[in-house]
Amino acid sequence: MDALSGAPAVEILGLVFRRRPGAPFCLNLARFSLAAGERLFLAGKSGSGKSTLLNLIGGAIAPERGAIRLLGEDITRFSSARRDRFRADHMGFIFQQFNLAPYLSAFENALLPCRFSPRRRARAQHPQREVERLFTALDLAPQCWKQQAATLSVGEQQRVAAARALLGRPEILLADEPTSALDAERQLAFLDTLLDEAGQARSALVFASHDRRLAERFHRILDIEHPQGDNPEDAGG
Amino acid sequence: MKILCFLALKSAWNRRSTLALMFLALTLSSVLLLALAHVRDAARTGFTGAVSGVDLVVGPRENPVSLVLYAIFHLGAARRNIAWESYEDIARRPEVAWSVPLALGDSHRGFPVLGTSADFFTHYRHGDRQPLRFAQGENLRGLFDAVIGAEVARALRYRHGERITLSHGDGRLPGLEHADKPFTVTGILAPTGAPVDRTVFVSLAAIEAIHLDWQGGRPMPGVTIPVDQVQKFDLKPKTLTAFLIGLKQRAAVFRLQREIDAQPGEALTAVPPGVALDELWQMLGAVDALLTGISWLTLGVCLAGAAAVTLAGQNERRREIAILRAAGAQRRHIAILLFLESGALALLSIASAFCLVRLAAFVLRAQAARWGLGPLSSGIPAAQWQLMAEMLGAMLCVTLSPLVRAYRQSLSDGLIPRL
Ligand SMILES: Nc1ncnc2c1ncn2[C@@H]1O[C@H](COP(=O)(O)OP(=O)(O)O)[C@@H](O)[C@H]1O
Ligand SMILES: [Mg+2]
Repeated sequence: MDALSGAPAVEILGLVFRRRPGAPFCLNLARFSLAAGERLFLAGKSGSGKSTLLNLIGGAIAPERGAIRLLGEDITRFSSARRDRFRADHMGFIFQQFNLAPYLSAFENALLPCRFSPRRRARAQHPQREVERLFTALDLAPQCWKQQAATLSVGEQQRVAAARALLGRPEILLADEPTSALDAERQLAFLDTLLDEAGQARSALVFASHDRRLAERFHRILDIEHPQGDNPEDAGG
Repeated sequence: MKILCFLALKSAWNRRSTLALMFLALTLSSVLLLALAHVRDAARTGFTGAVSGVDLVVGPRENPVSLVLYAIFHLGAARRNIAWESYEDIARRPEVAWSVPLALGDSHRGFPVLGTSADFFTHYRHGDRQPLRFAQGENLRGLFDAVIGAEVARALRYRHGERITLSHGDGRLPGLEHADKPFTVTGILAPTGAPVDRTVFVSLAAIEAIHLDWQGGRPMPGVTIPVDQVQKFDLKPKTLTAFLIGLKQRAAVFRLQREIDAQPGEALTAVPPGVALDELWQMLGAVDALLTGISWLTLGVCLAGAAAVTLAGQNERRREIAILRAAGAQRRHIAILLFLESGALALLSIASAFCLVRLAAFVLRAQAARWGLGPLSSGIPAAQWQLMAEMLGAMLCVTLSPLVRAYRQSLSDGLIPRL
């Protein structure tokens, strides 16, 4: 069930989300879409709802109203089991921290998506070799590969998480403040490799960050506090 | 699901010390419950197995349970005897197929000595109505022949032809030895698991013979009757402790019992073993219920501890669940993962407890037989299966519920791990 090639990777229509029925709006997004290979910078202060939006796109929580179309399919109409399968097959995630199962090695962590999703395994072709390639591209020292995730530094952990998200070239990449735990020099190097690999895989990337300095490397910006419907502002450059 | 087992093992290994302590606590509290169930079953099989061919145990009028415990299991203090004539009267009745007299009171190095007739070895049945078998030698013939049970032979390393002497009473008072009248072991019984294993058998006449020159429980001062003289005396027994009856038709049991209980003359009581067992069970019922209650309470305390430990680790589990879901694990994978760990913990605890109880029962089998407990059954009694199922249910409920909470919470958290 490969996606219709013409459909946008992510398309959101009339999205309304509240934490509890009757609570104030947490998120209210009229219209928004992202094509394959496009990179979006999701801007907004801490607590503005960036993670919530990523959770909605990831199908982990359900909106009160509205459609979330991924690769042409409205996942709000899916059963929860089907959403889980869709996520495993088509999406990669990187978070600010706590990305890895602490008791698995770096290598085993990176391989996880291919263990759960036959589609990702097929797309990776040789998952082990692909992990090695990604680790090398992300500049992860080989002596870390077999190390327990809990013993890795934060920077190393983030690179393992990036390799895991990229493995099997998922159509949609969701990144939630993945650079916030890194020091300034590391941030840009990490971001460049991530964008490079995402570009090669033609993955649509939603990158949430409170740090506007990073925005210039993206095609578009969506400010979650002032969403502009169909026309998110263009990033400079 | 290879990956799930792999993850469950890795995750459990990561928390191995907590899990090991939980396992230990659950195992030990399961041991309590299972040991109790085992003793209950072993007592029942021991009791029924020791009297399996007997229709009535007849003795002086007293509590039926203590009569059976003394006559068959040699437990309890020596008591009033009954007259030989009373035995002969009843043994001659037409409905009686066989009868075996029993005279207890002496001992040999801590093992009870039973004066009886050679008929004992043909009529007595143990376990599932098995007849007695001689492992070595044969039945009582000569006056000073002795037959010993398997446990006596094993514990004292006796062989065929061994010369032994008997002690008066339970042998705890020094100087009360029938040292002048030694016996020869002419037969050794094969193991049975019944009290006969721990018994030294001699003839009733021999019991008379060794007490010829005794009076009031001690040797008569200045009188000794040497072995070669005893045959000149009348060795017909005058009293006995109790006797066993087998009937031609079992249907006659309760009628004969009533007649014996009501007959004029010596005050006797006749007890069908099944009735004694039921009474014993009623006597022990309250104690059993109390012990069972305490054991469940112990398991409850351990489970509360296990739940507390699981709750304390809940945030870590929430994070772990979020991480795995973001990496592609579906809800059912997570559910299986959590269930695998709880299930394995519960199953392993119960299985280890079961093995420990069986091992202990095997190691302590000699001691257990002394208390009238039956041997280990080869199968697992239904009551123990049920108990283990109940324990499994209780453990799963308690250890799974905090995990179910963590799972639910992680679903509403979404994929992004939160502190
Ligand atoms: N699981 C949750 N339960 C209750 N409130 C939440 C939960 N997650 C987020 N929130 C609240 O929703 C709002 C948006 O949070 P979030 O999406 O994490 O913002 P951001 O990622 O932009 O910092 C915040 O006010 C936060 O407190
Ligand atoms: Mg956030």
